Amino acid sequence: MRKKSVNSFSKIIITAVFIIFIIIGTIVSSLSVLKDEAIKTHLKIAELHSKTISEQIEQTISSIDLIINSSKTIIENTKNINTLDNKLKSLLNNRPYIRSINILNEEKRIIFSSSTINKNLIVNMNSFYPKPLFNKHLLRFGKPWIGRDFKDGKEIKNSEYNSNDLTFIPIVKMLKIKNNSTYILINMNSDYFNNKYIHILKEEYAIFDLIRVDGTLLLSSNPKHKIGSETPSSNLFQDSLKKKKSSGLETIYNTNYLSAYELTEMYPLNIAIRLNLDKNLKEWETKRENIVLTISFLIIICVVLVLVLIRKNNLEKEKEISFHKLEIENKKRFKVLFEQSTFLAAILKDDGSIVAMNKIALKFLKKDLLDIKYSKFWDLNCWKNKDKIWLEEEILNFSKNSKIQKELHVYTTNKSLKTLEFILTSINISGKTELVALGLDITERKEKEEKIKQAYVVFQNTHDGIMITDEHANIININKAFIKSTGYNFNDIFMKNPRILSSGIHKKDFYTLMWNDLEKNGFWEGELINKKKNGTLYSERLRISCVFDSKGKIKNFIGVFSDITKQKEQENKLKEQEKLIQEQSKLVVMGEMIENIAHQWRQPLSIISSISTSMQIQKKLKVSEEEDELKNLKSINDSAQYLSKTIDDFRDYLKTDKMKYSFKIENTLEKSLNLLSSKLKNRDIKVIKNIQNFEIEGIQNELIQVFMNIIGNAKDAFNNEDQVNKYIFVDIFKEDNNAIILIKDNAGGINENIINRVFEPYFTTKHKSQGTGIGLYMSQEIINNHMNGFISCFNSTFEYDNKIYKGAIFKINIPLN
Amino acid sequence: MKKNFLLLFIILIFQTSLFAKDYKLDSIIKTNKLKVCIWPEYYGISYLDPRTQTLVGIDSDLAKELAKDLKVELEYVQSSFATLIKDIRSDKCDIAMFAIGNTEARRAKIRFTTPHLSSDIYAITTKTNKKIKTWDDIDKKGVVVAVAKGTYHEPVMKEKLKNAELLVVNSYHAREQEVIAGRADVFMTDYPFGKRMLAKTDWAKLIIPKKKYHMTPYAWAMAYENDKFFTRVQKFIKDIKQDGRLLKLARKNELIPIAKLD
Repeated sequence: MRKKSVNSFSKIIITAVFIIFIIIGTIVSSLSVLKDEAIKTHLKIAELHSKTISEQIEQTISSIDLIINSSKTIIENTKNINTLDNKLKSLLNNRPYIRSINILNEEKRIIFSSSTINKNLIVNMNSFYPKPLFNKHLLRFGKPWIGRDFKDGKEIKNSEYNSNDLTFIPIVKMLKIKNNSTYILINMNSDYFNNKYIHILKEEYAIFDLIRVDGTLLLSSNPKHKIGSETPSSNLFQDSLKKKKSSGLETIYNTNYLSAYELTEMYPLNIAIRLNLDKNLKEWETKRENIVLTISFLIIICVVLVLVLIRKNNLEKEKEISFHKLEIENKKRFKVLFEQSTFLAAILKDDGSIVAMNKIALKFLKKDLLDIKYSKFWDLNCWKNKDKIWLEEEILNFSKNSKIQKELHVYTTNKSLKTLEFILTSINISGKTELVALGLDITERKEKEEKIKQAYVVFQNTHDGIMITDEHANIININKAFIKSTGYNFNDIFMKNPRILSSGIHKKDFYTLMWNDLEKNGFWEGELINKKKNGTLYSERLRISCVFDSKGKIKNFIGVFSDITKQKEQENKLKEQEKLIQEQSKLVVMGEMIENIAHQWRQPLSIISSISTSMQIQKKLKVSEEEDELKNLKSINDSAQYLSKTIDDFRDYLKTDKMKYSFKIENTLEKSLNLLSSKLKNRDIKVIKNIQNFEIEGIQNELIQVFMNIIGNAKDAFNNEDQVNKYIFVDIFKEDNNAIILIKDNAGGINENIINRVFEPYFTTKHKSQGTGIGLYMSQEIINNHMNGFISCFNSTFEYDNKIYKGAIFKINIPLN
Repeated sequence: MKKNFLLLFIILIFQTSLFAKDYKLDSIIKTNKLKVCIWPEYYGISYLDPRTQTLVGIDSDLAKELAKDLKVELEYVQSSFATLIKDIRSDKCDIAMFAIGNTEARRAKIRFTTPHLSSDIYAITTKTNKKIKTWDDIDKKGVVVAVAKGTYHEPVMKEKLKNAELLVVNSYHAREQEVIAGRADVFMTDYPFGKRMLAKTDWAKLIIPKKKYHMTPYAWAMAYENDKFFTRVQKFIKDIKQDGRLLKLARKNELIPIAKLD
């Protein structure tokens, strides 16, 4: 508001300065206009003077013309020429503008004169103007002369005029008198005009010039203007020759003049009145400057005063406006508060009757204000009965300036309950007290509080240890499980870093990776070993989650951990058990191998034994032939080779190489069948193969162990059955990028009661001398954990060679990628 | 023999007579002088400034141009409409060059060149005259119309005026005086003079006819029979119309509206 006011005042000041400039500009402009008017007025004065003087000069010259004509009459009528001079002299009476009247003959010699001293002088008329074109009887004007008259005077040449000199202007007219060309020449008194017009025009301010139209200055009231010489040519002078008169500003003799030219009607004379511009307007300029200064000063004072008043007025207005705005805003705020900020807002009289109620409450009550206006507040149907009584008592006994606050429950229209934070207070408006009933719907808040309570109970009572840290990873809260697991209580651990729990087992890199994960993903999960308060170590599975604020900045870390010490111990036990099983399994395998070797070797050994025995007998009987001996020896050698190959096969199988590599599945099956071949042969078990050969990645011996376990079990199943056709079907094929191995027998299947337990460790249906119950368990471990596949078992009835058989099927599924 | 001599004499006289009728141009060239009659009071045409004794006007300017074209010196001869015919026929001047209205009466006695100006008739009254406001107010009973004697306005107005009284005065100046003095209400004049009156006086008011009243071609005049000179002057007129001198001088003397440039 303050800033706005300053801006507004700045605008007013700028406007005021602008207005001052405009006013002063207008005044200056007006004064310029007035100056122009003053100049025009001065010009008008000059014009009037020039016109008046022009007319006077014209009259004087006309008078001179008349005297010339009179002189002619006098000459023509005078019989005694000796009296002529005197008669001419008498014409000078009352004519101060004439110095002398002279009569000249054709030779331009003065023959008669009012001034007899001029007689016999010859006058040069070459400089007289104008030269007549047709009419010779014109008045012609000579250049001015210095002196009183012809006798002591001379025509002015080369600006030799001195201001103290007497001057005259000769005017001549040629007339025919008695058929003789006679010149009557009158010397006009220049000084007469000077004296006359100096009185009219103040010499200091105005100058009078009489100029012949050819530009020769005949007469001037200014002694500095050189009469007899050419006046400086000017446009105004030229204009006056064309238009008879002209006026305006001109600069001649290096001075600015307001000049007015006026030509005489009939004579080649131009009258110029020149007013000195600077001198004439000096006083005016001084006054103008004073006026400008005074008016400017007054304007500035006025503007400043006006600004002060405007400022004062503005401030008052602003105050008024801001007060008014505040009032409006307060009303708006009150309205908004009344209507929207609370669940219930009502204005009550001191007797509890309702004056006003906000829309939210009315909507909740499903009432119009008119329905409930002036009804008692406690009679609203939303209150519980006991609350009604309480409200009535409190309202009626309410004392001013007190405040009542209580949680109340109100019924909604569908009879559910809402919780209100009820406040009863009073306001005083214009001396009148009214009660204000406010009810804040805290149902949700209450529910949330309840949830928080529940969460807190969970937090406190959960089996998982929980710790909460601030953004700097200082522990700010822990639960009971934490205390139980670590031995630290709240006071021990408050504002401590969780590294207090560090066991020292994990290296620095472990924690660096943990923090990197936290920063990157917002959580970390893993197992670690920590140290309790009493120094013992414990294992925990910890999940740390970051809690972010609205700006995405970490606010808290929440660590939830489970004490997995026991679980770890159990796992270790299981691992040891498994190791034991594996050892047992190996022993079993070894036993089986030895048995197999025994089976495999029995036949070649008996061959070797038989042949060697036979050869001994033949030698003893001396019936042996060399050819037979060689044959027998070859047989012994073949059997020995067979024994050697059998040993290689077993040795390969018993290799403990755990490196994974690609191997052909058919070859793997063949190796397994070779190892079992003697047993299968003894039991007349026929293996029917349907093999799609391809490579598989893994540990070949482990798969051989699986084949041997499954085929071995099938072989053993036939031991229980006295049947003619004993088959083991092996189908290997690819399906959806998986290797599918189906091993099926026709031994009658597995008892359905136990079929689901065949992969359990130590589960066996065989006599303990025959089975340990770990073969299929190990097979499942190999397929599931080492080869990422799975193995299943089920019974099947099938037809083969036009006969129906029943048996067990083991299905192995190994992913090829 | 006598007969033969008489015949020879007659032929000689005839030839001399023929030569005498067409001698003007040769004479001008021979004497190196062109004498031009002007009326020195004709504003805009051939006005003699009394102060400077110089002639100002379109025809005085064109006279200089004609002399220049003929390569002879120029001599102005004072004349007037009253003495025009006499001055020409008495050989006082070779040609009269002061915008002479080509009227039938004059044509009977003097030879006119191709017109170079053409003016209607205008009236001049005083600004204070209450009777004359428009052209229609002129030919009314009680109105006195002044004309200068010898001008073409005299016969024209004699014929045209039905109700107004015509006052014929001796000079141009006299008709102005009659109007200023109130002895006449208007005087009739032409475009150049009317314009000049407005420029040089502060009392004159120009009354313009609502439609063409009496257009009169203005030309120069000379004696009949001087064909060679006439032809040369006609060529001069053609030249000044073509080469722009007429336009230039009409502009200088503010007579463009009445100049016949084609």
